[in-house]
Amino acid sequence: MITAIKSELRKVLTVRSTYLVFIIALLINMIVSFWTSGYRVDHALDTHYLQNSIIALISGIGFFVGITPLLLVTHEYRHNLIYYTLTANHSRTIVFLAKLAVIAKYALVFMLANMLFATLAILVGLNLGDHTLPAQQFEWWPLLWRSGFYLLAVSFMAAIFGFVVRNQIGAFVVYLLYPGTVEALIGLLIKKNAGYLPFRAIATVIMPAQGDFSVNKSAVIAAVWVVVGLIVSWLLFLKRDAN
Amino acid sequence: MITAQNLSKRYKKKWAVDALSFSIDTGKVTGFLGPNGAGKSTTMRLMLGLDNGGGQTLFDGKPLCAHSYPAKTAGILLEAKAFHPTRTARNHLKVLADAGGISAGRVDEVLDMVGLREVAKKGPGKFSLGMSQRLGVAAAILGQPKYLILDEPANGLDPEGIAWLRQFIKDYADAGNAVFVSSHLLSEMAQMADDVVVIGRGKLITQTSVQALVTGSGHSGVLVRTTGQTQAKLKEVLESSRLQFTCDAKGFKVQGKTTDDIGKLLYRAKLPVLELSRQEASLEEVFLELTASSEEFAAKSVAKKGGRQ
Repeated sequence: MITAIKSELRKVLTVRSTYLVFIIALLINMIVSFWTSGYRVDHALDTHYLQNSIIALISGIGFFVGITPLLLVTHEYRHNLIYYTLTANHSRTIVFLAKLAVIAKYALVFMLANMLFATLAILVGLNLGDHTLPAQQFEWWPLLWRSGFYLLAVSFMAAIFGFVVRNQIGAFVVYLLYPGTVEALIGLLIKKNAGYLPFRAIATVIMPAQGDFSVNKSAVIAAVWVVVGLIVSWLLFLKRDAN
Repeated sequence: MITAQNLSKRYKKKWAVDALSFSIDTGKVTGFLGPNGAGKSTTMRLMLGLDNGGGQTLFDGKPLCAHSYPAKTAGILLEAKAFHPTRTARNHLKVLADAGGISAGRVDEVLDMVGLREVAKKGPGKFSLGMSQRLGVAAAILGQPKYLILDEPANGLDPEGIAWLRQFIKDYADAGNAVFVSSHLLSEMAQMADDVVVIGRGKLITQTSVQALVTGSGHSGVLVRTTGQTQAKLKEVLESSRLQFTCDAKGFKVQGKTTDDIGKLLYRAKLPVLELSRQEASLEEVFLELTASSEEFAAKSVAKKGGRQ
């Protein structure tokens, strides 16, 4: 298992796209943090300002966190690396779990880096904009678990798309269209029950909206979707021919 | 030893591989031959557990996945371009080394062996097909496996590369390993393979040594050439001796006898001999003969009159 995780981690760290996506997300995060939450902030700053701003920014860049997991899975098929991956390991389950472990690690690093740089950018922006930040209070647990859950869930959902679709472009199109467009349309149809949709539930965990379920209930719904999706992905990964 | 037992794979109603069994010995190069669409690649994928199908393949008595480090048991090359185009050649091999529990130091060794050290820091996306094949060979031998399974490894290699690969494969087998290699280059196969497994339409046609295959072919025999005037008498002598022979413009080809046997016969019959030589069939001739009925995607010959039929 350790060798499989090492290999998957090296896969992530040795392609340009990982760094490109990470840097783009970080830059967008920092620019938005600096400008809208820092320099040009136009409302009174409360004692939870930093925490709320960070959560809002994490939810804004959630899309980017899923790209690398999606590529980690679909590169296997696009470049036929799956031959090597599967013949070097004892079982497909080990490969599957190793990928999930690396995806989780990536999502957490992504979260911590973005939190850190968002905070720095906000503080610099506020300073340059001559805004006075009152003493801040942080509720660390909600901040960390909600941000972490959100990014992990989005990452796993992207990986699920990769495992199910396998075709890289196809999986990417699904990842682009499903969370926003398709779920929005389904949401119009099912109205009150839209909170049961996977990405709606995931988004509610980090940014609760009026009329949706509570954070905890949404987290359970999202977790069920992710677990079911991963089980389906695992079964397909076991049963399908590797091509 | 690799033992493939009853391998089967069906796509909808068609059997791509149909109850295929064979074995591969160590210390030998075993060629895997078959026409296009015969099921060679599918068979290799079944052997490695990449495709789901019937049967099993045992490497030293157990499936590949049951070995502690599968990459140290079997090295594979199924696709020349199986790499991420922008991940450097060295990193590509390091990824595989990590997965196979192989030390990172081995990566530079194999890059040296295949002559890719100078381009180790480059992405293989712009490699030629020959360089890609070399990288594939490097990946296959990374874990110093006892078994090598190579699917068309000579594709895209230049003559120097082919000669290198041939020698490499022979040396690898001579070191006590087994190499199972498919190729359409039959002349190459004839030079490097000890044994062959021939399949057609997913079924085993034969498994034997190259020598036995070629010697036992109807294309092999003793060529006898005599003067124009004595041809009829030669035919008479061969018929009366109940020998199997064919006759064409080159002369008479007698099967199942040695040059010594035929020489003595002609001496007794007092026939002039212009030529008496052993004629071995080429592997290509034997292959075409064996697989004639198994050609699934045979092309029609070009019409003699201006390409029209």
